[in-house]
Amino acid sequence: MLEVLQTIRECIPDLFPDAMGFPIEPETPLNLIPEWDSMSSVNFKVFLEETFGVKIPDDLLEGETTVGEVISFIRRMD
Amino acid sequence: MRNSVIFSTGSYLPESVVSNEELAHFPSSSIKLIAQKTGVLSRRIAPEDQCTSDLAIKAARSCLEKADFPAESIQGIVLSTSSPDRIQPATATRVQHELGATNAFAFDINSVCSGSTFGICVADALIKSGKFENILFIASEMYSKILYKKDFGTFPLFGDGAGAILFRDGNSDRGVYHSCLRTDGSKSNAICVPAGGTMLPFEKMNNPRMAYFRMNGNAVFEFAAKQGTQIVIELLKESGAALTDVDWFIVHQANINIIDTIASGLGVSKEKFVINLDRYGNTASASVLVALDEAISSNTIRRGELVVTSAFGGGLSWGANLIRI
Repeated sequence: MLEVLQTIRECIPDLFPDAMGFPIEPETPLNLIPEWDSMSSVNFKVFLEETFGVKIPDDLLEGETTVGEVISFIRRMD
Repeated sequence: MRNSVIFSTGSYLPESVVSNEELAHFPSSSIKLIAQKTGVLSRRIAPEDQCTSDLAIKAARSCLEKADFPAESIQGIVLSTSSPDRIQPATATRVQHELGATNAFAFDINSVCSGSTFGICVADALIKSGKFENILFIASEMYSKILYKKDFGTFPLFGDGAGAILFRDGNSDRGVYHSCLRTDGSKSNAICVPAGGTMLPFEKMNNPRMAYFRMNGNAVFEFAAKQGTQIVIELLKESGAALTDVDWFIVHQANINIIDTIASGLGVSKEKFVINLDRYGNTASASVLVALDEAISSNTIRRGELVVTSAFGGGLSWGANLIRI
């Protein structure tokens, strides 16, 4: 859990430069990350798939999904 | 009354057409989002060995040839670009040389995507100053070289292209009637290329992506939909024209959903809006000039018709012009 969270924390400023310093916690909704939108979220999807070797379903990153729910999905697929 | 009349227009789009489906480095399941979220179906991408001035030169030549206007008679060249050949000198200088416009001064302006409306205003003011009888205004952009190719949030949205307008002084009722220009510098980070200037020199950047264009999509959409509508209302109010007087609207071709929102906000039929972003994507400051040239060349917009041009973009900045063609 912590390793995946740390990897996500490290990638966020690269993918969303305005999110530099933005706190990324398991309960953080993805759509509150600065610069997050339906287009830029695809960059996050590509990052997760390339980094963790999992196929991220399109609807996982939509709506109120939290960072923790993404981590849980990745751990289930691992 | 002295007026800045559109004597000729021209445009140039690179030959290479890249459809959404050809953006194979993005997940195939996400490709459909491009059309859904922006209306863009394809874009033109310039060859690797070309630069922004190459597009500008071709658009300018097209403009001059249509009017059979000799380059050496041009008195001034104003070039709008936010993707210049180099930080210095001005991209306009190479254009001046290659055109053979030996008697023209040449300089750049950069108001990012709203550069079309700012440039029309500048060209109009230069002619109305009484010092110049003609001004060649060009807007040329090559965003394919300033975008991070793996960024789905920006790369699919944009395309390369250039447009040109030759303004000449005249005394008829044709010409630029009025312009409104606005800037909100408090949001200068919303659209930017963070590195490569004096604020963050290349050797100081800690992330290579800082050298590329980035945009806060949600914030920009909200800004563009609101101010893109409001600026037209202000333009018409200041100029004393009525919305029903306007024959055509040429709005910056950023996103079909923004244009839909503006048309709806103004209560104007979308049939009065010139649209080409489906074919060319967002060509930044060139978009309005390219659309204007296509509409005039195809006789969609005819001499004597009243046109509103409006644009919005980095700065944040936005503007509009009222022009009788």
